[in-house]
Amino acid sequence: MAVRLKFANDLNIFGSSRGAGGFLSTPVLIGGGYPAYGTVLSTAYGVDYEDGSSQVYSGILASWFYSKTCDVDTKADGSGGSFVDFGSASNIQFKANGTFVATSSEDIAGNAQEVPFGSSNYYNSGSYSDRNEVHNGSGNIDTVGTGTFTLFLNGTVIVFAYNEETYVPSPNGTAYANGQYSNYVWDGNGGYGTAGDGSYYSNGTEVDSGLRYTTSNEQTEVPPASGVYYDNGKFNQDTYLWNGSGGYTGGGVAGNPQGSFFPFGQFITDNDCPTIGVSGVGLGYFWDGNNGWYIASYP
Amino acid sequence: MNTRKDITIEKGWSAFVKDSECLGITEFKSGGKAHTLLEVITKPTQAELKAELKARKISLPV
Repeated sequence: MAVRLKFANDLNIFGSSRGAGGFLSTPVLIGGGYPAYGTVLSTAYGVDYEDGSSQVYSGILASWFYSKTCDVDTKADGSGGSFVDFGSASNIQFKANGTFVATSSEDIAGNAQEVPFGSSNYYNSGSYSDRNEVHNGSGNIDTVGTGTFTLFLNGTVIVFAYNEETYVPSPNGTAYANGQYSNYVWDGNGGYGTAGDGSYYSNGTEVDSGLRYTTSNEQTEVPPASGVYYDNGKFNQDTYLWNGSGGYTGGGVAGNPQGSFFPFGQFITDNDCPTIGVSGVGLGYFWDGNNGWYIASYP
Repeated sequence: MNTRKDITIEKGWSAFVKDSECLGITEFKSGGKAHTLLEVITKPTQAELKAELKARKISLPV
């Protein structure tokens, strides 16, 4: 606020007579010769309105900026200094739409396209350099694509497309991923295609334990030298193994035979069972749980 | 290689034991025979057999 002081006749604060009295406009000097507190020293127009509630964030510069301008006075503090009096600023308004804030120092991906067509999945097809942030005229910042747009290079991976599969066993088995796959890639002209990636599963890797099949049951001769053999609970399995080039071979399951011996007490047979004690009736062979057997009467 | 032994089992209750684990117990009402790698422990009654297994810290079959 400007200050105006009225002085009596012949009062001369500057040390010389001015004759008639009147009003002094700025600067007003008092005491040691400084302008009085509040004396308007200058006025600036269209400068940042430095009010804490009127700031907006720039993502590019990672800092806050004032979103308004104003006209504001610089005033004397009465002791030779000055201050800018935003408390009495006038003509406060948002910075005009398009007012430059910053230019990006990094490429910003943009111009999304649907890949593959009809999937409703969109991916940026290139990047903007020197993209700008500008005030939008209502207190916020907009990022505008005014920079140079460059398509991603041919072969740039967009997203996984599909696995390469092999039927195991062929031709009517189940389709299994064989380690190779394809991605959608940009073609450098705004379109896309597919490109292979990955590597076949290494030679000897089992395709799926669920594909194992039993080739033979392990047997034990009961009794010894009888020439009669019975399944003892264990069995041998084969499976399908990748051959390192997308195909498969057959192979035995490591650790054959599989499974466990039949448990203790499981009946084997009563054929040719020798007579024990006073009665040979109702005797039979039973597994002992460890691939041996015993002869006992039926429970 | 078949290294199983032929064992004659007396009348009573017998346990078939492998590495301090009892794979099973059964009653031999008229005695029996076994062709096995297992240790066979025989007692006149089931109670005596279980007591023997307990004393030797042999686990019973589940």
